[in-house]
Amino acid sequence: MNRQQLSYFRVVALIMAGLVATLTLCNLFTIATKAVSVYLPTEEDVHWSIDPVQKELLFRTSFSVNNQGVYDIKGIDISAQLVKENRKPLLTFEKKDMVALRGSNTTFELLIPINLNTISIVDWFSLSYKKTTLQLLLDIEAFYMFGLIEFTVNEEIDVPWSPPLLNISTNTTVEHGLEGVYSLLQISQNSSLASFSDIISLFSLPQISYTAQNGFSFFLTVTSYSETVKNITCRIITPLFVTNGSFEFTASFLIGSEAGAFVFEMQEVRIRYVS
Amino acid sequence: MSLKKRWFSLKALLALFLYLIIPLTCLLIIMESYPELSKEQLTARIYWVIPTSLVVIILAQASTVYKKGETKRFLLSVCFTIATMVWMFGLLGGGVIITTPWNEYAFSLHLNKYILLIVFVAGLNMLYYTLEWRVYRQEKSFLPPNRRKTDNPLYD
Repeated sequence: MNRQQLSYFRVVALIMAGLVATLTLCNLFTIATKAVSVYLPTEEDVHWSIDPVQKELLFRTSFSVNNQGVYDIKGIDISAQLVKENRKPLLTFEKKDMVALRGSNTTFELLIPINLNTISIVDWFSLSYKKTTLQLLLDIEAFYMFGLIEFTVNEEIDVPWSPPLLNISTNTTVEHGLEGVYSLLQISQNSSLASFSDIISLFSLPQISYTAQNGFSFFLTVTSYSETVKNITCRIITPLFVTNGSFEFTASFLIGSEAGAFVFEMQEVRIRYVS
Repeated sequence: MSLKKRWFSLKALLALFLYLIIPLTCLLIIMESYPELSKEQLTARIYWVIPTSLVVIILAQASTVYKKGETKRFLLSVCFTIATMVWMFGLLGGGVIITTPWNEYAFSLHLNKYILLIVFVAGLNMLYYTLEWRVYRQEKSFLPPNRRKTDNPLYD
């Protein structure tokens, strides 16, 4: 190698060194000033609804990327998993190769459909009546500066879950009836500390006969067992999406007071498949 | 040909601007413009930049005292390159992964590939210094031993 070639090499090496030092400063500036930032959904930003026609449970949320940096953010991959309290996964969702251009504030809407056929009967039944908190496990990856810098985030977002049975109708009578059934189920599980007030509230339960268009039926019959004890019988028929049959859930309870003591006696609980 | 003697070499002056004055100004501007940012972190960066950049500048100046092809110049230049790597590494947070809080969530920035780029550029500079040392050492062996220092084109 002669001197001329060496001087060319020096120029290249010096430019590269200066470029990397400048990039380091720019990156420090971008990171420190939060010119690039991501806003993840909070608990309140995660919504869900049930579409009985499409047989889907639809989760809706969004996250936004504010990119005021010099480069585009590319290859944004999101992976979400909805798990139950016992960490059993209900769904896995992935969306890949999203882009947040420089100088933009981009909001990514996430529509996560769960086909109800893919949820096991046990899980579905548990979700149908049990108030719980699900967790959305978010895993986001993105590339900045031609892939030289990689952003990652792993977060757990709580999703409060209220049983869809409670939201199936806007009819106040039906709502009260369903709340009563929910209380019954909670009492039968012996997991509620508020069971005393729940028992009292059951005395005001109305008789209900409700059938929805999709075949879902709900019957609540209240009869007097004695002067102070009532017999509450609940029958819920849930049509199955997979086959033409349906599940029939029947529960019968004695509620009241006898000889100065509260009575809560389960007489019959039955689930059967009706074709 | 007479060369005007300078107190600071061009290399040292460039190092002074690139590794001390510009970063320090940037950090102070960030501190002033964004009072909501953690002052501790920024002050820590300033405390990192000042001593490491001074080492870089001293090494840059010291390496130009010796003639091209001399082993001391070569070794000082290699130390200069290593010092610049350390400077950059510290300025980026001193790790391969930086955790930064955004909207109450902790984000991780993985700088593996960026660090590789820094190492590559440092390697390129070291290769240059090695080639410079070898090429000029060969040429130096052909020069008369009593030639005056100021007339020697091997000085930079």
